[in-house]
Amino acid sequence: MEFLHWQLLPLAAGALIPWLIYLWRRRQRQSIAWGAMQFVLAAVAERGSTAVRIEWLLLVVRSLWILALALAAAGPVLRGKTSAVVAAAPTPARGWILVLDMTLSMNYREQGTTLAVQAQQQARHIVERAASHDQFLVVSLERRPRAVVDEPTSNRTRVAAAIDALVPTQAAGDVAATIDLVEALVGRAARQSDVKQWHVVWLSDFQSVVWQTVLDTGAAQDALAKLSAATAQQFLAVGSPARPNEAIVGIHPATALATVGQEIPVAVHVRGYQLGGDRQSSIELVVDEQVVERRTIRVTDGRERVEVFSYRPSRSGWHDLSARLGPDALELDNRRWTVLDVRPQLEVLCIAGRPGEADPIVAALPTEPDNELMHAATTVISPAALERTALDRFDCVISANVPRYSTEDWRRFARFVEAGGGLLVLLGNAVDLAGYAPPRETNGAAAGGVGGLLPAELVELAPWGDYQFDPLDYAHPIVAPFRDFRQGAGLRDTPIWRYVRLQPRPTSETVLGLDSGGAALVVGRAGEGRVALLATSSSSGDQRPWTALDAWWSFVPLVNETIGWLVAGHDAREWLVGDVAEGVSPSTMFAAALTAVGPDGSSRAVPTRIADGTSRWRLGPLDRAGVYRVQWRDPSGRSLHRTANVDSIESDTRSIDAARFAAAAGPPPDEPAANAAPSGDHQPLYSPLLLVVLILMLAEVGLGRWLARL
Amino acid sequence: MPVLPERYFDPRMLSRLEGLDFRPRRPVDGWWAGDQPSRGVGAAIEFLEHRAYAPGDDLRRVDWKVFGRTDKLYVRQHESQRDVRATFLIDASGSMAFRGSGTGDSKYDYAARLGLALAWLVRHRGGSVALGLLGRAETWLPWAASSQQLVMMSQMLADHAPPVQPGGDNGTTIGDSLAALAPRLTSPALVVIASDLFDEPSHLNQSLARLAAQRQELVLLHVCDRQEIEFPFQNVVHLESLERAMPSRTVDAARIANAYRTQVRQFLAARRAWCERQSIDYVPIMTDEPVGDVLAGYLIARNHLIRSPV
Repeated sequence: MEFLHWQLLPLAAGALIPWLIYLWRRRQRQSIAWGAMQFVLAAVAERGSTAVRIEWLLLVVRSLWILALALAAAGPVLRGKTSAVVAAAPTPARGWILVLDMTLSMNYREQGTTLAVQAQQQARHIVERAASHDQFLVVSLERRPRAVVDEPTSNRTRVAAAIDALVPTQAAGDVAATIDLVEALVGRAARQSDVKQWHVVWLSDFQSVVWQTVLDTGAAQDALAKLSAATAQQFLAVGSPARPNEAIVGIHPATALATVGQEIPVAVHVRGYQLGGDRQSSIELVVDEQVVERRTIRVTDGRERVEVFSYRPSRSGWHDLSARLGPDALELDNRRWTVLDVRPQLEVLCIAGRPGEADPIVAALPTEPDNELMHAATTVISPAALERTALDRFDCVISANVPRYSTEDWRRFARFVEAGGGLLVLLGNAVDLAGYAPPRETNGAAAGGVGGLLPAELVELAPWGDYQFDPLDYAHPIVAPFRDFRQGAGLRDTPIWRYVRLQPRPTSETVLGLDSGGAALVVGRAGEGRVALLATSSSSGDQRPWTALDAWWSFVPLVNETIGWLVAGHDAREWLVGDVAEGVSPSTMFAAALTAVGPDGSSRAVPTRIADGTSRWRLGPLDRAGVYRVQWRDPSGRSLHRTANVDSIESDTRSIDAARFAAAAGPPPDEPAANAAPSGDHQPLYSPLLLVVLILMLAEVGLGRWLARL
Repeated sequence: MPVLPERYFDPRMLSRLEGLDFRPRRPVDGWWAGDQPSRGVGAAIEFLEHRAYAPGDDLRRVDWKVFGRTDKLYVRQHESQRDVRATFLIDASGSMAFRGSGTGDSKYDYAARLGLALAWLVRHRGGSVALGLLGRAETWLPWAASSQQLVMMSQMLADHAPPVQPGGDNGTTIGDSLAALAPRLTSPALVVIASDLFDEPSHLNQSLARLAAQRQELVLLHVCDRQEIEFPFQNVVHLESLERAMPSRTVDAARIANAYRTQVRQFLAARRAWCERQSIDYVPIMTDEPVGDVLAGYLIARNHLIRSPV
């Protein structure tokens, strides 16, 4: 006999209560000196031994019905007659590895339950119907798959509890890693138990995007085939094939850093899956938990729709933006978050290599609040003043024709950029090419790929000539606004007479090329920030200028678009649920401790690590979608917001036919798990036990009355 | 009259009984009267009653005047105060030590009060009294009409009170004690037995019958404690026997109460019926009843029977 609710078994101790009462009453007896013992003895003799036997029988009956009631409450299950047959002709124990898909798509709700619950029910059904000597392992398919029962056990109560404890995540799954984990468990189980045949049962919705990788990836296919050679596999699909779903798959403000009063377009991407046609849905733009706009849109099955909202922040600070759809069967992908860092104004530092070198830049930046552009406050310093200038309070640093920088300067630039700042380097006739090779040790893993901070190496000076920009089809966001204008609004005919030949790094992007084939404007990313490198000068003030860029009408928009792009990456990195968020503390917060407040309001300390002169923080894995607020414990109270969103690949509710995996894995076991004729049928016993309780209680009443009559 | 101990003698109760008589129903053929003429001139002999002549009666006692009127032989019964001899047998077995809750006296003390009150009445009329203790066969105080006899009786009763402890007696039954005392009771006398009569019935009956056959006038004062009669317990009780011959027992009182009371009713009914058959005065008494009330009621009823005209 086994018990489904073994935690209630201690109630069986209640069977001792009648005996304890009996002993307590005897202990509490009054002792009396008595003279008329003959009548006592006669009365006892008159009642006879029958009464004594009935009294003992009553005690036994009372204990039995309490015991039976406790056993019934514990959910007893008895292996039936076939168990005897099995025992008589013992069959080898089988091993079962139950792999339950606990990814985001399993939160899909149909017929009142989620797919995850349906998978758990099927798994428990397999456990209940297996033979008593079969052994089990349980694996959860997640972004980081884990074994919740990692050693073979035949304790099905424990296995059922482990299955019930699983909760579907908000992240996508790694099927290949799960296959590897299962293979490792099988290998270890072969050494730990005497089970010869292991059956792997995959319980999943076989969501197309995630599972397709198994069929498309050679390594995953090989791993699956290898697993099939050692085990018998079965793939049980959970949920119905047709599962309509709508999801917000992206939310992108035009910039992640804005100034007060600036109108920010926010593009929201909506997609429908298996809708069976168009569907009307409501969509809201929510800012700081206030609905700022609501629309009714038409979502088309299989197509992505972009809704552009507009938001104008009226105050500085962090703003949490999200787009939200109406409820459907999978609600976790109906909302997506982003954050907007709104500043009173942009703080720009210009390092002028020579007096006046930065003047064109300063003049190009708006200083008053602008509807479309960020207005900026610009500080101009000489290279000598850089050492005593803290970079953390600036959003963007512009280097204009500075001859050279020291190693420490490059390190400071690197920390500044990695912490989210933007760096624009403008070359010119004063630049010492050799001095623009930042030491390699300033590179972090995120620093523009292999090489230095700059997105390109400075190779050599190009000869004097007549050159022009090549906008490269206006593909990059910096030059995209120039597309619809004649000559690119002056971009294409900007005179360039000299430039530095650049060798862009593999991870860089060339925004503007040169008609000579070289790169004029190259951008890259380092840490949380961005770097841009212009191969020529921005100033035409020299006796023999390299370019007339600052006098051309494309200069102002090019400067603003470039700076806008440089700061747009500021803190704009989007995390997915399951990711580990990382960042660099500002140098002024080097020693400050961090705490993070999650979307659920829970607060936790964020560990930091000092490396290469920077303080790096690490948060995660992020377990739910929403906004995370990272705060430094510093008088300034500085904080930053990060968002984690669900991986939109899980929103696609189309499924792959499980039979394709079965075909790839090999023949199924001779007894499909879902329809298995049980190797040992089982019978719940609580009904017969309750009947026994009723009979015993009636017997107690009858015996009591009989005793009273004696 | 010497000072009587207050333990057993209540002056108010005695003064209440003073006007009552306690004398044999049948004339006492003591060796003071009848067998020898009285040498005392003016000795008081009080006529009691006539009874039918029985073969063997002294012809000198036949009332010829009545014969002349009725042609029937009747014998004159005389009461001689000096001939009243009363024997008081008080049960001192272990069970008599029982004292129920709510009562002041044990059955023994109550029986002693009863016996001594009646003895005081006899002595008040000039009779002689003797005392024997049942359950203690060798304890005997012979008849005497002295002024100290009551004091000696009360002292003897006080000295031999049964202890309140399990098995506190010596195991002698009432019947055995009566049988042992019977040889002392050769002359017909008034025999008052105050006891709870907790003995094997047939054995007790045999002893009582023997006394009755010895022409003793028996008065059976059946002293009972109400708690022993009613058995008012509900829970598990451990009953420790006050008599050595009986075992102690732990019982669930609720379970045996009905059977117990049935046994007691049967016992009392059988005792009454047997005494009636034997023409023995049977007086059931509860220890929570005042001694004076009990004796007054009994004596009044008894005297009424005695004075009923033939």
